[in-house]
Amino acid sequence: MHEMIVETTAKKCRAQNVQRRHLTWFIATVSFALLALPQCGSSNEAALRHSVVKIYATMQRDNFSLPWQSSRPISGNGSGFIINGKRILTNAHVVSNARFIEVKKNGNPRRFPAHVKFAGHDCDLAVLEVEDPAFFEDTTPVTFATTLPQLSDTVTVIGYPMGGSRISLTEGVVSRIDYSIYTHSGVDQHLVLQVDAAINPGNSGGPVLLNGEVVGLAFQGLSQGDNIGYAIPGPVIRHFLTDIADGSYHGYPELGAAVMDTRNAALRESLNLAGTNTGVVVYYIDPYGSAKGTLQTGDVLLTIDGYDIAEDGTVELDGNTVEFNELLERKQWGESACFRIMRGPEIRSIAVPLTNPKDPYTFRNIYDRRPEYCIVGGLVFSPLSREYLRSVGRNLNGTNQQQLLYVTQYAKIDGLHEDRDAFVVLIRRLPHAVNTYAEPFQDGLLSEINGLRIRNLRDMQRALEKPQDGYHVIRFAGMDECLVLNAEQELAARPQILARYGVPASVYFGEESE
Amino acid sequence: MRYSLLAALTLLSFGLALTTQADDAPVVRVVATHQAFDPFQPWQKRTPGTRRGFGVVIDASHIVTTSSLVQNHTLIAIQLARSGEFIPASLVKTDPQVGLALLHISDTTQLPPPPVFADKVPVKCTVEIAQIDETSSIQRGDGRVLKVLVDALPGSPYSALQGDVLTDLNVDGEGAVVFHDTKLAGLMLSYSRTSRTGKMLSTSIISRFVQDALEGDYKGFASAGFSWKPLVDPTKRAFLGVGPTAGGIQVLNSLPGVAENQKLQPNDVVLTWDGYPIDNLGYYTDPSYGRLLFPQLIKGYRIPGDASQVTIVRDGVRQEIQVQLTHRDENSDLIPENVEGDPVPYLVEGGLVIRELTGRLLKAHGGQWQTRVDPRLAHLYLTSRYAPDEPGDRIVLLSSVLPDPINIGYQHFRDQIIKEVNGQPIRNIGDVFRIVEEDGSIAKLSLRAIDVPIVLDQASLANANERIASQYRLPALRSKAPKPCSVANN
Repeated sequence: MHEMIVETTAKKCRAQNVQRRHLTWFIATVSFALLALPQCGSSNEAALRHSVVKIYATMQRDNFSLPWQSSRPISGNGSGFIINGKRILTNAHVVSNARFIEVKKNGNPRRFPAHVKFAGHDCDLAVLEVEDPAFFEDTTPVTFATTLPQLSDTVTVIGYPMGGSRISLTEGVVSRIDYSIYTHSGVDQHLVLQVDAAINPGNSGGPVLLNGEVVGLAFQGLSQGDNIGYAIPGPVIRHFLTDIADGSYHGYPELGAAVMDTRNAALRESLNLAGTNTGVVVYYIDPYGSAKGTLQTGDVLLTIDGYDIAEDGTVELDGNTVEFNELLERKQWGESACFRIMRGPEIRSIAVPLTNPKDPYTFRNIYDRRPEYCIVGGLVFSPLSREYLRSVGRNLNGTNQQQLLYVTQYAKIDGLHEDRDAFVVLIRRLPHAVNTYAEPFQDGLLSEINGLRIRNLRDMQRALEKPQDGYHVIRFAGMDECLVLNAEQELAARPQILARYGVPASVYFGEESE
Repeated sequence: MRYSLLAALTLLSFGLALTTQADDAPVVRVVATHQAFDPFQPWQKRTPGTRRGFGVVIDASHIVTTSSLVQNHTLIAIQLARSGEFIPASLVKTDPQVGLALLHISDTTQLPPPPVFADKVPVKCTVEIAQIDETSSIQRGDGRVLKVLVDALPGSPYSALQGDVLTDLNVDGEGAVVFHDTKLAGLMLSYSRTSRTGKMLSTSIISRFVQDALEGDYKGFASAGFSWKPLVDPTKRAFLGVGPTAGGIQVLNSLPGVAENQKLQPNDVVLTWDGYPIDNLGYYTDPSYGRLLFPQLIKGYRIPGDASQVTIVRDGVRQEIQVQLTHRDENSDLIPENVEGDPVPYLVEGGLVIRELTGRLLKAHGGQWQTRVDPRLAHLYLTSRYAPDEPGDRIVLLSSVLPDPINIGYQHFRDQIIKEVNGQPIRNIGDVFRIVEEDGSIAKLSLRAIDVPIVLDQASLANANERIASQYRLPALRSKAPKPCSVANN
């Protein structure tokens, strides 16, 4: 059985999560034990309780199957804590897609409206601001620990989990420090603290304390585990807070180079590495990664920032053996990673400026962004997204649907990205006489209209201006059959379809199109 | 149409054609022990089993039964009615495209006299179904052929002319024999005890198969080598230049294995085939059976080498063309299905398991195989399995790695497509065998989208191969497999 990691925001509707392999979501079932309020810990902890706030959020997800619509608003609550600068730190998933946010301090009945100042969806962190300065009266910003906790350290998790309305404290030990998936984005992995304290829906965003200092921020749990919770550790929080210090969030940079270890003696010999025990070899350069243009496939990475990279890809760091990627984790957008590499017979040093170019093929979860769409003859086209794939659900056995699964994993590796900016999918047919025979094309990947290659949604409009002998000929990737619409009838049907199905506009190309 | 052929087939009543009286029904029980190859470890077989069904005697030493009954057989025997004796039989020919197998017995045992073949399926007529029960007695039951249709054979990608039979007999296995007026009307391919209906293969297919198989140079059944779709959408019809009432189907693509100059082309609209008008769903009116899908005009009435007269609309122009028919088998495909579960060729070199991709390998992952296998392989199969870039192209895989010190660092590779071996491009497993024979071993292997070759230590390779063969109990490190994915096995 797969382990399932769930975000721990309490939502009245449901808690959702990603089962990574099939990209399907499930309704998390978590047993909610009523949590007794423990006796007071240290006095510092008692003071900190006033810095731990309850966050009320009304959220409205966008509908990726009917992209002009939104789901019903749902209410949820999470936790957060006050940091310096009169700000509140919480999880991004507590406030994503939020239409209205309020915060409340422990012991104070008044709720204060708040808004998101920064959200880092790749690291599931967000900073809120409260306009009324009265909110911060009698509060003390938390203090962050400067080092990671040790395994078996006893930590305290504070927050507002389900099972009651008042603040809750639970204790547990740090059982593991590891890299793990951050379910909020669905694809990013960063350092996590695994603790055996109860982290339940509602705990999200609350602090994890050790000796009165914050060592982490509670964010997700394992639904099938027994008291296995996860917290975002100090280094990730610091990375986020440092990133936003200049007034904008850039996110974690991506090296974008896949490497193979060189433990195989024959491989090492072929790479002229015999007699050493360092180096990993680059076998893939991500076209949207930082390494593009600097590193090449076949390069052997010998050191990073002066640290030797062992043949298995690890470095010795602060007395621990860790993946060399951990050094990249510490980098900010715009910084460089300095590699000593072997390229052919040459040893050279290369600085790779680290960025994170907008990559439409990573298929992270999307928040706070309306899906784009274009309707032609009642056929709704939209860029492929993780959300849409999720809406297809388990029905991925058809050729068209399986193709979606393929491109989400192989778009860049197999070079499918080269002649397009996005995968445009026929996501829905709004039935009308003009599209009666379009059913077999559902979930097809649009490749061409009227002989013009379709790179993105906007290309559709251009292509539709040039019908072929009065017909729109629409072709899909992997299909021998094409879809044909009568151009004149399609034009006449547009207003009828929009009116019949309550669609406000036939296209939405993003905020700039509004 | 080859009515003359049909007439000739009725002459397949070898010896004296008798009516099927109580104890003389030409029905035998067929017992086949079988052992399928393990799709994941092609050097070994799965747990053996036994299948029981029936067959029909067609002359003094031959019996026809279903191909699935004897698939992957290790031993075949027949039993006569009122006898428990197992009489050894050998497989002469099997053709999964029509779901039939021809058996031969060299034993001098007197088989029941063969039946006369009915010249057509008796639609909406009462038939008699005969099998051998647990007391070794002939058991008969009445049935009725509800309709005749061209439909997929059970568990097969191929279609053939079949009858839907409703019967009160609990049909106890494949190959139960169907009679009409004492003549052989068909063989039961499947039966549902819930609906009490089953599928019956028509005698026209059986007699064609028998005649072809007995001649020794099996030609198989004809194909025109194209994929098609109904053409109902009036907009698309107009776009392709055919009126709303003209009928016709749309050609989607031509398949490999057909001569280039005789191919139908994508977007051709086929209006008639051998003079029979085809409607927009792909049906024609058969003189014997009424509405049938038009592939019956090819597979049912033609043989490889024939030319069909076809009326098409191409680029809006109506024209007559001749389409040369061939026998097409899956060996032409980029990804053969391996319907019969034949042994596949493989190499194990330094623990790297190299083989070709087949439909059987993918489907061995179970009902949801489309989401369980590597998405790239599933996509290739679903969209391109019939379409090699060049004839003979296959997908050659590094399917797995048997862990050993020689392949440390490579053991995570699985289901990766191989581009090159020892610097030479790979189009099929034959290329790999050739290179290994020329070079003596695999020194370097390149995978698609992984721009670092896998390198094997040549000094320790021989010892490693020996060690791997011993530790993983490989009977052979290389097997060319005598007839990979063959339609027929003699």
